[in-house]
Amino acid sequence: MQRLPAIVFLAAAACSTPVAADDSERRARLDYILHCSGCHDMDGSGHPAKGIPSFQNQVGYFAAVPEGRAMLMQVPGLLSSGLSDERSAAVTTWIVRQFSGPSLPADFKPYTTAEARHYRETRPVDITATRNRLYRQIAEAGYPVK
Amino acid sequence: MKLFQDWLDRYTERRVRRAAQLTARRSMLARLGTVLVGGALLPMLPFDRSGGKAHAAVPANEDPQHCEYWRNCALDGFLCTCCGGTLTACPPGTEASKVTWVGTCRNPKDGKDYLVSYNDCCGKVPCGRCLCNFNERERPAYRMGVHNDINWCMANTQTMYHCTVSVIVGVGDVG
Repeated sequence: MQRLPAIVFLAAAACSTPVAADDSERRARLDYILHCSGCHDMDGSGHPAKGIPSFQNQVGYFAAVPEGRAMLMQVPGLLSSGLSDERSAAVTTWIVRQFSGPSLPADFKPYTTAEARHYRETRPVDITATRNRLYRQIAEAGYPVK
Repeated sequence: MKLFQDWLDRYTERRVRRAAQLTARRSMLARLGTVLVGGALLPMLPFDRSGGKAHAAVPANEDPQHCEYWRNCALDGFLCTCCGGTLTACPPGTEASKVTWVGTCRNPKDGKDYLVSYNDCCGKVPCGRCLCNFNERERPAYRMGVHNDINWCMANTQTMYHCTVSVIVGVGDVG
């Protein structure tokens, strides 16, 4: 029983240290529910048959190449959400981490606010064409996308 | 032992004769009938079973069949609670929309903001009862995700709009 207070203290410390990170992750999750889940669904499965892409187990393949990493932040749903650069970056990072599954690149880095601004300013004219081309390249490289 | 048995015989005989003299042969039927009929009628009497609540006086903002009910704060359409469904379940014969719009409503009871998914129920003609049109935090059509004059049944096989439910999908306690 002598050791109990120490254990409790350590547990409390472990829980309280990453508070800031937890808050921003929570914010990103709420932004996903509020701005994305309506169409992409709570589990990121989307409705591919109706033109709403699925994130599940494949969004990471897009994040792995520079053009795909940019494309994920140039989609109309995100650009028309009204989210700030900072929160757009956070919610896209959250989506990639949450739904990539085995497709998550080993060296994936969180999106930064500067990146978000840059991608917004350099958005391709036809984002759907860009997305479809990347999709074909990923499929041709032998990765399972749907 | 013999003495006791004799006494028991006499005692029993006395009691039985006494009972026969005092009660009619069909009295059992009469009493049983009273209990049965009484037991059936008693619950039909107009007792107050509300547990002290006055249902007629529920304020509109606590009644899910009113637009003013807090969860309906951003709802544009017919309330499923008035159309044979509930706050969270579509009426029989309809299916929930696959895409939806998500809004935020504050629950006055606990002061928290809840994320509410306004799924449409699809597959029957419009219900037509309890039309609400609050559209809190709605934006114009070019922001489709937060635009409300949209038939969210568009991604379903049956695209006819019937009514709308209010499903809580999260608690928003981060500024």
